[in-house]
Amino acid sequence: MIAALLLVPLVAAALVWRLGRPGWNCPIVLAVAVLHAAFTGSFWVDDPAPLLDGWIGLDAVGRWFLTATSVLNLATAAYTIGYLGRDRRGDEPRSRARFCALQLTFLATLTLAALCRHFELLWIAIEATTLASAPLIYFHRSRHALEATWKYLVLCSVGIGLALLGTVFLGIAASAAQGGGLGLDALTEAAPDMDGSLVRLAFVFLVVGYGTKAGLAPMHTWLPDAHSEAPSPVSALLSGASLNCAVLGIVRVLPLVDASGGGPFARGILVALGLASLLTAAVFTVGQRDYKRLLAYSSVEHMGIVALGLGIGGVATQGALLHALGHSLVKGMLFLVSGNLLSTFHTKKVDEVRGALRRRPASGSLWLVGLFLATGAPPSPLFVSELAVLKGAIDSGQAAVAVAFLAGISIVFVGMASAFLPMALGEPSSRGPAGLDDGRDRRDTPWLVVPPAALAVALVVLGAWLPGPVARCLEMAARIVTGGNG
Amino acid sequence: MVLQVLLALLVLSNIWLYFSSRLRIHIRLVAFQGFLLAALPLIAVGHFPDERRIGLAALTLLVKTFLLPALMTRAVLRSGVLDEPSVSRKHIQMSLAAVLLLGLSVWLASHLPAPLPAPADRILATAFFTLLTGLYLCVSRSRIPSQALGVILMENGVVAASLSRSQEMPVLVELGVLLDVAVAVFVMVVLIRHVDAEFRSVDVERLSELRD
Repeated sequence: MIAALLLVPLVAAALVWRLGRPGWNCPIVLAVAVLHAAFTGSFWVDDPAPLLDGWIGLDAVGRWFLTATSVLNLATAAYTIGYLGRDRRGDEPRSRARFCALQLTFLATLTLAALCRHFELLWIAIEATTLASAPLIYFHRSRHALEATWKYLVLCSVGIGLALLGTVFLGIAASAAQGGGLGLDALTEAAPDMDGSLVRLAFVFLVVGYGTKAGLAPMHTWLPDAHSEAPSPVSALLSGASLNCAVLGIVRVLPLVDASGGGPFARGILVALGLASLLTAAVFTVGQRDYKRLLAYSSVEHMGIVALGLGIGGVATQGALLHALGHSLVKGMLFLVSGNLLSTFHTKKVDEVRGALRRRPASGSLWLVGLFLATGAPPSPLFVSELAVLKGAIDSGQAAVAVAFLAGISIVFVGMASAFLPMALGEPSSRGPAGLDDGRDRRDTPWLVVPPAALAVALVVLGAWLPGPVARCLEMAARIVTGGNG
Repeated sequence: MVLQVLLALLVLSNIWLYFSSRLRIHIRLVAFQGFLLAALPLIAVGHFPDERRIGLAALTLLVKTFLLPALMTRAVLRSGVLDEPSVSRKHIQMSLAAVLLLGLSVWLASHLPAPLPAPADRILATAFFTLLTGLYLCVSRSRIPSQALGVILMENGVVAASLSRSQEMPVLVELGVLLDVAVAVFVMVVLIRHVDAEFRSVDVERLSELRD
């Protein structure tokens, strides 16, 4: 089953690449997404058998992140049909085939990352997500997209190079302790005997490396460029799925550092990086003039909260994992809606988008709803997760962290609301946006509205009520991350 | 003995990179490092390597010494930019950088929390130096292909570092890492071509329009 989950997107990518029937590309992407979601859903009922001596397998943490990726991918795949249908480059058969093939490859790499239970394999998967997504950012062939792609590729490759060094150090510590490899089960068993200082050193490199890919400040500089220049469905996947997958790299090593006695050290670093990200996002969201960059900084904020939750530990760990899932869905939703706004107003400037609610009622309302869901207003699951992180900080006596956290999320809310509200509610400009006379119908179609709307519904449901199996999975995942101490 | 010679050659190839201002020399040096990295694992194991290890070494040689350098050379020749102006007439600065980073690498390798037995400490010092040289190329050089070479160098450093482990990397993992690097360089080469066509330049500073 797991093999199918990995192979189906890859085979479909090869098929789309070679097929030469542009009309079939998007339906194949959607069919694969449906199949992927169905397989993932079935894993909630029956645990799949592991592969390669347990290097690839599904535990509660993997299931959590895989589900987030699968749901987001399903929405994005459906949206892509509408998106490429109205995109100028989407008309070119080769570009369309390339886009769809890379999107499928990206899905395969994201899936592999969620399923990896071996550190070197996880590194390979996370680096592969960068390589599959980089050409997607450059889809529109603009100068800015090229610059963003280059920065993304070089900075993430450098970062991920450091993560590989961290993995090597982990390997040195492991072979001294147990002579085994870097499989998660063997490492968990050997962690108490591993040299604590060597594991801490490994953690530093891993957190800097994967933190770069996860967009944690101060290593986040590539993120606003890449997320704002990528086509909207790609931005949705980059933000909602690929950041989380880098977080997974950190989540996997945390219990090992804990077990080898380096818990307080590692958690201190995570709290510091989390706060730095939160405050960086706060500074750059206020007065931000580009709404896709605004969403990108909101991602930096969300990743900061996840790091903070992981660093604080205890009840905040559940908060961090729930936040990662909520981030996936809400950022996916908002990036998809931003694509609709971009194609309507033909600008990414906040000041030039006014009256979205009147010009595009569906997209405008989703934009407005998205603001509250993304900033953690109830009934968003991010409200619950932020509350858990706050509670964790207070329970553990870190009052200063709690205050900084509250200040950070409040400033981000002000920054986002002051951009989103006029965009949705303001008076539409009498002068039509320039550059739209290409004879294309830019009204909202069901393909462009239903996927983000479905994500919004999912968010509201999760915020109001966490179904039993989901709550149990969250609890189990948090227990794995805290090494059974959560 | 052979191991020491290979490590010394790796250090020398890194030092040369600091002082050369010609991109084609840089590519040849990186190709030479590919050869050293193919040979090192065969020597470092201390016994006659099995056929899988020999196959892997051959593949590393093919990819790192022939394929990737050939791709990089084509991209550089196509752009017509063969020099690296950030190095010219800055020999004192480059000497300082090389000496400092080499010193730092040796210090780091000998001050690990759990000291490694010889020759693992020397392998690690060389690996650190290669990695730091790559990082230095990424941040200090003014041509885009130099950044791509920096990324390859960093990865070379990490692969060398992995040889200091008493346990070998599984073949599957090594294949995966090699594939990732090959694809990364391929994507970078394609992008270099696009940057050259779009900006009529391969200067890093041209890629600085995006900001808040």
